[in-house]
Amino acid sequence: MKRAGALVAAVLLVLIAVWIRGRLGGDGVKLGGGDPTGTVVCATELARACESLRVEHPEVEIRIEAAGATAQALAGGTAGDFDVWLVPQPYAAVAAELLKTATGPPPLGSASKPIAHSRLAFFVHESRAAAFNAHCGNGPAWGCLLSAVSADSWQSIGGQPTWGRVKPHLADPLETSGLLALGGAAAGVLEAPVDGPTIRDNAQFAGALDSLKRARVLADQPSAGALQRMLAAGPSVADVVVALAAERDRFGDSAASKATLLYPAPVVTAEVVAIPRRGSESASDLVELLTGDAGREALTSTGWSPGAAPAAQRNSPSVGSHIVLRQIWEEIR
Amino acid sequence: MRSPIRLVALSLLLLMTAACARGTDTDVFGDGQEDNGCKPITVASSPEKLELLTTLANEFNRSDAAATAAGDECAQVRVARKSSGAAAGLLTQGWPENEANGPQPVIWSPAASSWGGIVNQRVTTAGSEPFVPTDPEPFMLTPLVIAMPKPMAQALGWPDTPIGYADLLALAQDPQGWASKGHPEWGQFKLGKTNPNYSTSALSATIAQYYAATGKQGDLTREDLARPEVDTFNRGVESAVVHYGDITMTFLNNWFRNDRRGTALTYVSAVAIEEKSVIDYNRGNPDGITDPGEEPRPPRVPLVAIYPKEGTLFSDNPLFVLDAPWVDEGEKEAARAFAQFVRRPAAQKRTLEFGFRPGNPDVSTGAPIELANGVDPNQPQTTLRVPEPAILVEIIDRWAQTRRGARVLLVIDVSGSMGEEAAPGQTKLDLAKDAAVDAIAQFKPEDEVGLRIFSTDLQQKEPKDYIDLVPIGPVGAQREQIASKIRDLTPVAGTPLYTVARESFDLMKDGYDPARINAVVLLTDGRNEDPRNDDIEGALRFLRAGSEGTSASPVRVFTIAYGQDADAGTLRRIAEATDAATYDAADPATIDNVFTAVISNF
Repeated sequence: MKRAGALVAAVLLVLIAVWIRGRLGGDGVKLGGGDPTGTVVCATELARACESLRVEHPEVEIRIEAAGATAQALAGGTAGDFDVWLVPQPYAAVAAELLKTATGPPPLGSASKPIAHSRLAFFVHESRAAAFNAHCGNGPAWGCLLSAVSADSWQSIGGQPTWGRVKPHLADPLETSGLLALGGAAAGVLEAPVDGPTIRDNAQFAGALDSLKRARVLADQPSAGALQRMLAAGPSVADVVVALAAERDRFGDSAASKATLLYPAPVVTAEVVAIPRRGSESASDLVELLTGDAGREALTSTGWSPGAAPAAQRNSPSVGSHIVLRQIWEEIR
Repeated sequence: MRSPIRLVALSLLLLMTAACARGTDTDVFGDGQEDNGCKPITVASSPEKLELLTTLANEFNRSDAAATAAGDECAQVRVARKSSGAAAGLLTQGWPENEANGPQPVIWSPAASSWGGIVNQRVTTAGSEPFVPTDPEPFMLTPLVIAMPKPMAQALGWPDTPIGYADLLALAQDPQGWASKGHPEWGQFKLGKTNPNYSTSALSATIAQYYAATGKQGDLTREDLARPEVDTFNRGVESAVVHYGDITMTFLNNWFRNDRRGTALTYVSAVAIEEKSVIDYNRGNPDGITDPGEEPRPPRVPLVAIYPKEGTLFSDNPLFVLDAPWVDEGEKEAARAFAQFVRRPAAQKRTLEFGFRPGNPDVSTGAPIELANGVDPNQPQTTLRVPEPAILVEIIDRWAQTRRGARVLLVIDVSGSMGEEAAPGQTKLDLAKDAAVDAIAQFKPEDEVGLRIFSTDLQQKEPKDYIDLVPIGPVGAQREQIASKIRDLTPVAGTPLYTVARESFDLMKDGYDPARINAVVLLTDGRNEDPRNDDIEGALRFLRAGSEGTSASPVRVFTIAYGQDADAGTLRRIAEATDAATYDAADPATIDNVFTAVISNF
């Protein structure tokens, strides 16, 4: 009898311990019981992670939109209702910068620490990888991509005559990967320190961006869509897709083997943060969910690496540089 | 477990309906069309993937995925055939729901996503909200190619020499024709191309022509389209077209029949089609549908796919889950579940069986996409960018002016049976008259059109069995006169079918205009009732003799079998004898759509 009583007491203690752990944060268990509710706006690159989260937490509403569109809507005071914005840098910082000049109370709280990260990569079609690598010489770099897209044809940089021109895909800078790529290109091509005025004053760099924009294919597609089309239809559609390395996780080995991942120097990385909407009652619970095990699991199970990026992978230029790059890109006709 | 008899019957129905004469384009397929209590999800699918999509819909309907696809409700996917352009037209009008158009779709699967942009552009121009998603995932892929008989492609240097639209234009404009390539026996270069208002192959080919004419691979502008040299280039290519039409199967079936007769090289020299159609043809199944009991026999002269050196476009077969007013959230959810279902690797492997390239990159392209079937998995090397929707719409609008001109004799049956009631207060003739008047409006002013009516003993003097109400002339000057004459028609006596077919053909050959598509459109609701001429074999011999060979001045007789009593078999033979097509309007309510399809040949 004593043994049975001790067993019951032990089970109770374990249950109490689990309950207390939950109250202290983690795994999305909420104070007062029940899952958090509310709306999370997710950047396009996080769509799969957010859908995965919604499956586990159906009370959480998910809305997917380009990070730049959310940033502009916030700055313009036209953003729809939401409680938390899950977005990779540099867009969290860009939005904060844009909001400095906006009137009215700031709509966003402070960004969380990075929950997960992913490096920006060149996905080069396997049939073009050897020629691209040879063109890049000592290793992939932004400069060699820019010179490749400026070339008359693949043949002029060592490829086959039937390949035509280099067909790069770069997402619109309204998408995180697009803006991150412009920052990477600036950091890779211009001499430090890279800032807004440096970028503005460099006609050669502006010319290279012009070539990149003109050569760009599948311009209306986000990077995941372009990558899928390149892998399915082949290099006639696109032969170099600039995308976050996490996108590789969308595909099985068979598909992924059709592209070679190259990390151009200097490496730039997208770090995911959660930002609460000021005045939202459910924002803190949702941030807790997203920064806790549930959020990390959703991200890492869809190709993201946990936590902040190592310092060596954080080579993006300043926020101001990114804003200037967006403007230059818009000015190119 | 379904009853085997039922499954066989369903399969027969599917195959026979798909293979039969061109009809209303609204046939609904899918397992268990009868209401099974589940939420119906209608898919409007382009014809070339109907069989595949129906098979996958049946699998879905039996799967667990369908059980809760629409929230707490089960879903039942039904696939209906609708050509891409016809569906785009209906969606632009809000898809008026009636017998001819079929039910309003939840999912729209045209052959290429460019049609979605066209619909959005048109509804936006009309002041409505766009409702076709802009970023669909491809279900499966197939590139547009120029199909050529292998000996002809070899004469142009294939496979070592890249071939493009510019080469075809040069050949089309060479007065020596194929003689310039050492083959005078092949006559002039002749191109088969469908109508870009209806057909994705034609839309893609027309876009590619513009790119070839400008030397660009993307970013076509309005200024590009308006350049005189671009216009000249396009008119040059169009001048080689034998006739148009709404589906490529017409060309492929005619080509295959000519192959059996040993005249494949003189029917057409090249046809703009999708890669998968080359595979189907070379397997001996030109329309891609295996009829019951049919044993495919490979053609004597196989086709090869030319991937134009200027670049080409892929048909990506999207499954658009429409954001239209008639689609509710439950239907959208079920539609998304089906779209996800068909992208599973198991389903994607089926796309290969049908000659498509999988849209899911996790399934590799393999057989039958291989050189042995006339196609090259390593091609194309360059994909052209789909132009902006506004440019796409302008390309289609401009095509109406650059297309090859037509010289057409409309021949309408006014026999007594046309006076039978087909709809409350309307005879068959009334419906046909309305459709014919609408059809007249679709010709461009420079086209030449005439109107002939026929019935036994229409008049005392010769010819007794037909009267030319309006002689052939530019339609711009006599459009209203033709329409007025059509409106005045009244039913008379019997049907002298063979005589009128033969003599209309003869009239068109007498005045043959090599710069135009020369054709007869013959509408009848009956069978031959002329005691003075009941020699069908003689009539067919006459038509065939005037159509075959390079020296022929080809006149094509497009026939419309109107109503249940029309002699569809004979009309088919008449059309086939002239390398044209027959159209089925067994249901008089569909005559308007059928007339539109017929006129798409010009």
